[in-house]
Order: sequence, then C-alpha cells, then structure tokens
Amino acid sequence: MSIKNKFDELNRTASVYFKREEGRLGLLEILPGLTLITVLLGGSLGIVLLYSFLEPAPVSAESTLTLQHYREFFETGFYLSVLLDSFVIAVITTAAALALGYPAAYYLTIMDSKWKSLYLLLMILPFWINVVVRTYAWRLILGSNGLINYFLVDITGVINSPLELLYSKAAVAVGLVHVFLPFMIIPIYISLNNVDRSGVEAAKNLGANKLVAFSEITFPQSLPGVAAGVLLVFVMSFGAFVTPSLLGGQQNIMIGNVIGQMFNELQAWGLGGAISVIFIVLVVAIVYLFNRQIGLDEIYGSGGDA
Amino acid sequence: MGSIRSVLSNIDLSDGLSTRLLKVHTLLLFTFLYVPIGVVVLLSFTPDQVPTFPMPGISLQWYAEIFPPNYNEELISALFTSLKIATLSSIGAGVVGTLAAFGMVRHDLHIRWLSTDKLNTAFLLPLVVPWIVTGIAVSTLYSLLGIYGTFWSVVLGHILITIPFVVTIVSSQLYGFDRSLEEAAQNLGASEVRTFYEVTFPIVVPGILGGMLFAFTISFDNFTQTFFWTSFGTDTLPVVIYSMIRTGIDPSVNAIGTVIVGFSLTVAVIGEKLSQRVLD
Repeated sequence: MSIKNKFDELNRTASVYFKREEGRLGLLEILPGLTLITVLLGGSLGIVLLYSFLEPAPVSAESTLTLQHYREFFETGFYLSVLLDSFVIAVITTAAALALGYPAAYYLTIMDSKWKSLYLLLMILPFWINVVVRTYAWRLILGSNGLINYFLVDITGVINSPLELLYSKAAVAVGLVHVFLPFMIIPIYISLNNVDRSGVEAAKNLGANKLVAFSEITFPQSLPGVAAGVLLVFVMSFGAFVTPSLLGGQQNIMIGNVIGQMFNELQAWGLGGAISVIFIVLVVAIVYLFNRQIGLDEIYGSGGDA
Repeated sequence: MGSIRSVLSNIDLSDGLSTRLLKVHTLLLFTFLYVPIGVVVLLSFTPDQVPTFPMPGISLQWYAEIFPPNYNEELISALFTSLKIATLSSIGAGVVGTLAAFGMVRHDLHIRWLSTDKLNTAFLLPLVVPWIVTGIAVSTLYSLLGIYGTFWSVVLGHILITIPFVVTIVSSQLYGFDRSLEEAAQNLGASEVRTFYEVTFPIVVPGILGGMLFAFTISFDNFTQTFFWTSFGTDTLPVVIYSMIRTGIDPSVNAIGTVIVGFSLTVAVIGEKLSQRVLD
C-alpha cells in the first residue's frame, strides 16, 4: 500500500507541474489495461465470492445459496488453527527479515562507495533466482542427509543421529526469510539513502553520540521504508504457498496450501471460496489497521522527499 | 524515550567498531543468502543418485540429462513454454501497461467515479491481492469459460500479473520527463505525431524496455499463480521442477537449478549495467 501512497504523491506533484491534456484519448489508453484487470481479476474474485455461498459449487442446476461453507470454516477448528499458525509464521518471518535486513541496508548507505554497487547487487541478486529452486536449496541444507546434519554427524561427530530439521515451522520460516528478504532490504535502503546526512552531523556537533544521533535522526526518517518492507514481507509470507509446501510437509501447511488443496485436489470450491474470502478480508483489515496505526500517509506526507 | 536516550548516550561506540560490526553482519547475511545457492550448484556435480554430502567424486551426468542428445524432454519443452509465455506476456504487458501509464500521467479524465487515485489502486491490485487467491480465482473463471489450461489463457494471466511493474516503471519515467522538449519540437514546426516519434518515444523507451525486462523475469519465474493455470502441455519450467521435487530431491534438478542460477545472474548483471548506463 505504501507503494500506492508514494505513487499518489508523485501523481499529485505531477499534476501541479504538468498541464494535463483533456479529452477521450486518455480513457482510450487506459481502457485495455483497466478492462483486463476488471474482467479477469475482478470477475474471478466475484466468482470465488459467489461460490463461497453456493452448494454445490461450481454452479449447477441444483445449486442453492447457503452459509454452510462459512459455518464449516468456523466450526471445524482446523482451518482457524491453520490460519493462526500462518499468521504467527508470517509475523516471525517479517520480524526476522527486519532484524537481518535493516542493519545490512544501513551498512550499504554508510559503506565505502567503491564496493557499494557490488554489495547492493549481491543483496538483490537472489530475487532473480527462481523461488522453487531457492526453496529446494533449503532441502539440501536442512534434510536428514543435508549440509547441517553432514556437518554435525559426519564431520564433527557432535551428535550420533541426524536432527529432524526439515518439515517444521522453523524450516518454513527460514525458507520464507530467504525468499522475501530482498523485499525488506530494498525499501529500507531507499529511505535510508534519502536521509539528510547534515542532520546527523548537526546532532553529533551538538554532543549526541552515534547511537543517539541514529535513534533520533536517522531511524525516524527510515520508517517509511521499514513500513513498506514490513507490509510487503508480511502479506507475501502470510499467503505463501510453495515454501510451506516444500519445507513444511503435511504437518505444517499454511493457509495458502489449504486454499490450493480445496481447489486442486479436493474440488471443494465452495469451502475453498469461503476460506479465500475470509483470508482476503483478514489481509485487507490488517493492512488497513497497520496503515492507520503507523500512519503511513502521515509519514509520507511529512517526510516529503523521504 | 528519555531513559532509552540516557542509556544510549552512555554507550561509547567507536566509529571503527560499529562499522566493523555492521560489516560482519552484512557478510553473515551474504552467507545466509548464498550458501544454499552454492550447495545447489556444488551438488549438481555429484555422481550419486541422491544429491547429498559427502560427494564421492565429480560427474557431469546430470547435465547430460538436461542437454542434448539425451535430454529430459519434459524439462526442455517446459523451458520453451516458459520462454514463449514470458516473451508474449512481456510484450502484451509492455503495450497495455505503457498505454495505461501515458493515459494516467498525461490526461485528466474528468470522470467523477474514476479518479487518478482509484486508477492507481486498480493498476496495483494484481500485485497486492495475495498470489494464491489470484491463482485459484482466475482458474475458476478460466474453467467457467472453458479455456482452462490453454496456452493463451496462461499468457493472458501473466499479462495481468506483470502489468503493475510496467505501469509503475513507465509512469515514473514519464514523471521525470521534461515536457518543454515536446513544446520546443512543436514550436519548431513538428507535428504531434512526429513529436511523439522523435522526442517522446526515444526518451521513454528505456523505461518501457526496463518494464518489459522486469515483466519477462516475473513471468518466467512465476510459480504460485501459474501452478493453478497450466495443465499437461502448458506446464512451465517452475511448475515441472516443483512436480519433480515435491516428494524428494533429484540431482537433475540441481543441474537445471544451476543453469537457472547462471542465467538469472547473467540477466541481472546485464540489467544492472544497462540501468547504470541509462542513469549516467
């Protein structure tokens, strides 16, 4: 959402500087894209919403409107506990990505400029490598014959039998951090890079030490980037599919896997639809509350060039 | 805040020490990012049936499985499907997204129910709706229309998910555009069409190409949505790799993974160099 805010702000500034042309041409230019999004995305979300109230779904002669799918979701308990687990995994992933990403993004902004572009490239490169391959890599590390157990059992002999590291919630979280870390680092780096250095120097001249100068000058100005990174990583890991499927096993599936199973394997489109609707409503509510609580708009508004 | 401040002001951190700590942290982060990738590459050379340590030797047999003459046909045809879909959808998203960016940045629509804010949100929706939901939702629409699993339906879906990238990149290029150049051309007698081809287009082209390169990569890499859109014959490379490793590990996946890593890194480095040249 913060990307959107940035976007809106750019747009407002632009409309002041540019005389915009009026007329129908603009509408014609927007129409193909807008139609695609409205029909393909809006239409399909509408169908999922419809199916969530139908039994049997998809539409057939004997389909009737019902609330039974929603009732099943809340009464079964299983779906709620998977949803809660997914939320917890997403929060842990986001916190870990922030703790790992922030210091690295900060180091990028203060480091010797000779190496800077190489370091930046190295941090973004994994983003370009396919997510299935990157997740697969963690199986080779965490598996019972993987790198860690090889090191612990065969090389050092610290333990006798291999540890069960794969197929756990921790394995899923580690994989998610690896996959989504660039989405945390890039926005934080961008806002840290825009911090006005003279403010930091002024604070130091006035007697503040390094840490005080950082916590009172630099850190507050980097908050828009932190907020953007946190939101991106949280939403993406909350709805993760491939990483929990490959690293979590049947015991540690996330809500995305449940939705996928309902549509692909079980053909339970009604219940699957209801779970999708509940999930989307929850994500939108969290993003809305986050925006209001953190005051993203305010940060962007007052931050000006941040 | 006051107490935090007094604690912080009592910590004397010399410049050298804090920078060194940050450097160590960053290097550890690189280890975390690159050791798994390195392990994939290393184990692609194992002579074993299972990619594990210790490696009893070095062998190229898994590369023989993915390259001619004895290649794995499923993998190679999936690779070509992925390349075709990525090419077509990046062209489609390039055209549709560039048009939309021009329409949004350059025109006041004066339609009450369609403000610029709403349009911005609409064009970012394919990015912010959880991927798994987009995947299953679009697949239900496709099966309702009877086009589920067809080549062109996958291309259309990929245009949908890559549009936000093209719109964002091209419109930021348009915002940085000095429109006095266009006015100058027209004052010197150039027609509107000629101004567009000789002034506007060349300036915006790097943005369009950048957006299309991004769209290509996003399409080529996409798994979560594509998994629900393809069927036998339209499976893309990530979908086939996923089905190969769903239940276990497979050294030929290490070999194809190494090729993908090499390819991705080359594209990323070229993209980086190109963008630096554009910035210079």
